[in-house]
Amino acid sequence: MLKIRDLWVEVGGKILLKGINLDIGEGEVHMLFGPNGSGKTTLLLTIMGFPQCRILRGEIIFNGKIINKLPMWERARLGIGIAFQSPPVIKGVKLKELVKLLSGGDGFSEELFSFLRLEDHASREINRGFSGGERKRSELLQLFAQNPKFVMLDEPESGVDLESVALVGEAINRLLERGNYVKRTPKGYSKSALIVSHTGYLLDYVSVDSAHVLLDGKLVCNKNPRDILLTIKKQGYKGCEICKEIS
Amino acid sequence: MSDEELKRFGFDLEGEDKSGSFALSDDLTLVSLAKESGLEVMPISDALKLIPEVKEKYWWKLLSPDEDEITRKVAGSPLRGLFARIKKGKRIVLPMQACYILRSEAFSQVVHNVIVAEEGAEIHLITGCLTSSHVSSGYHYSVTEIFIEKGAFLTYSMFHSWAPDVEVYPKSVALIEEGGKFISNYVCLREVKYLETYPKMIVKDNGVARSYSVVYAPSNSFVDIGSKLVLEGNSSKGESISRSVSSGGKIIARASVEGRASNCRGHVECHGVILTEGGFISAVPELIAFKNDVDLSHEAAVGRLSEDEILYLQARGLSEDEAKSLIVRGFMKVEIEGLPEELKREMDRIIDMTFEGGEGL
Repeated sequence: MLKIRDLWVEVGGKILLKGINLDIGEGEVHMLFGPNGSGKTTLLLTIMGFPQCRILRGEIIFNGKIINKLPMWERARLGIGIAFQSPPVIKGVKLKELVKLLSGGDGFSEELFSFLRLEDHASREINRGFSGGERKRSELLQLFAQNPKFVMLDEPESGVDLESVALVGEAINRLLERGNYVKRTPKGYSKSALIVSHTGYLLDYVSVDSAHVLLDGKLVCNKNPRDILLTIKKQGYKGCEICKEIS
Repeated sequence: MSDEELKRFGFDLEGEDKSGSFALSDDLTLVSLAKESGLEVMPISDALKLIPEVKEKYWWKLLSPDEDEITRKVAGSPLRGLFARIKKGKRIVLPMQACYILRSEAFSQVVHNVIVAEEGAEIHLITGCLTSSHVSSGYHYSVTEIFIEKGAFLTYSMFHSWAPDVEVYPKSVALIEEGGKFISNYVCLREVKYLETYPKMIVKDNGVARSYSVVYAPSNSFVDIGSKLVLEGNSSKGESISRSVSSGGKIIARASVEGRASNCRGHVECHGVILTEGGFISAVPELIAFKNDVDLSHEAAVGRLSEDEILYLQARGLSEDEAKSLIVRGFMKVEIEGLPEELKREMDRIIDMTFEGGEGL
């Protein structure tokens, strides 16, 4: 579904991604670990097409099409969706208004507002006075309305209390049609995802196929997510540095 | 002027869901009728002839005929305009409509209106001021005297839609007596050569006045709009909120609150967005306090649309124009406390109609 080849990206005069190669197949869920400042968010924003992420070299291929030069909204319409880590307040735009627009009319299930505990937020401006957890759930709600084939989630569990992590995990499974919400095609799962995580808490709720570690703009590892998390927990990212040197 | 054009701005000559209707086309009164008991609607010339107290109590009582060029022009012109009065204690939920149309090229429409809500009465007035589609130039001068007597409630919503070479000078003063409540909404979203309006509201003890204006100025438009709230009564309250959007047009958004009595509270908000270069927005909030126990405040901000917000919506699949349109529409939809739902929906409908899909930006 998504292939990235030798991707180099500059933001504000600094090179933040240095030769990324990544393959995410149809129905696969990948997790991305890495310390602060390693380039995780930059990678997501570059795939989405944010203009401040300038591609110096390499290709992003989505469903066989090179999308390097496509504007953001065209990428979104091809089926790429993102949940931001710290989304801004959208002044004057009500959550239910945007959700209606994204879902293309009145067909959106009202039940999703209560599922994500956002019934009281529907008529409020997007993110105005929302808590950290409410912002994350509002991002997921919008993704439900968009219904993308490829979902990028930037630290969906950060700033969320432990009780709500379970809800976020449940929502991600539902969005990706996994866990209790399985909808397999003859080939298997159909939705793919790249999830940036700091903590790995989500691994208790979402089944992740593969994980990567990003260090200083380079992907240094691609292994079982639990093995990677174990290394990080025991040795910090230094463990990954050692691993990188060995490999 | 076709019925369709009138309907776009919520005016329908039949007036089926209205409590009363009045329409003036150039200087011809097309409609003047009241459908509910307790409501009087008639041309001002008839009112002055038939009801002696109109002259005694209301006619040129809030303004002087030689106050300025506009009042002199109105005082010296043939009598045209609306007299509407809602009787004591009568509350009418269905809105009343009034429409002022410029139908002939370069016509100069001159109007003097008197609107009275007697003690404890309630009425919601919608006025539409439009130019017929084949007309590009003209003038509209008006004086409106509004009386909100003790404990009465009046909302006055003005939807203006002019043409590129039209100049408009509506002048109004509202007197809000003890415990009365007045909400004034002004919406102008189409090109106009020159528009100048600065309604004054005088608020007595425990009275409330709220003024909202939403203005969009494309290039070649010059809009000088504002309101002046004079809080004369103890514990009176006033609020003046404006939203201005310039895409090449010039806007002066004024808002002044004078606190003249004990415990009065006033708030002013002037927010502007500049979409393209070529014009300007001048936000002029003014607070004047005469007592040591008044509470007056203001907020003013002028700038561009937030890049972060536009990018956020683009990441959701909206094109740049669609994203801007959604944000501008949201910016203009002010929360108006106390305005009936139906009128809120009508304001939102007109804003959506103007900016849907990025048109007009």
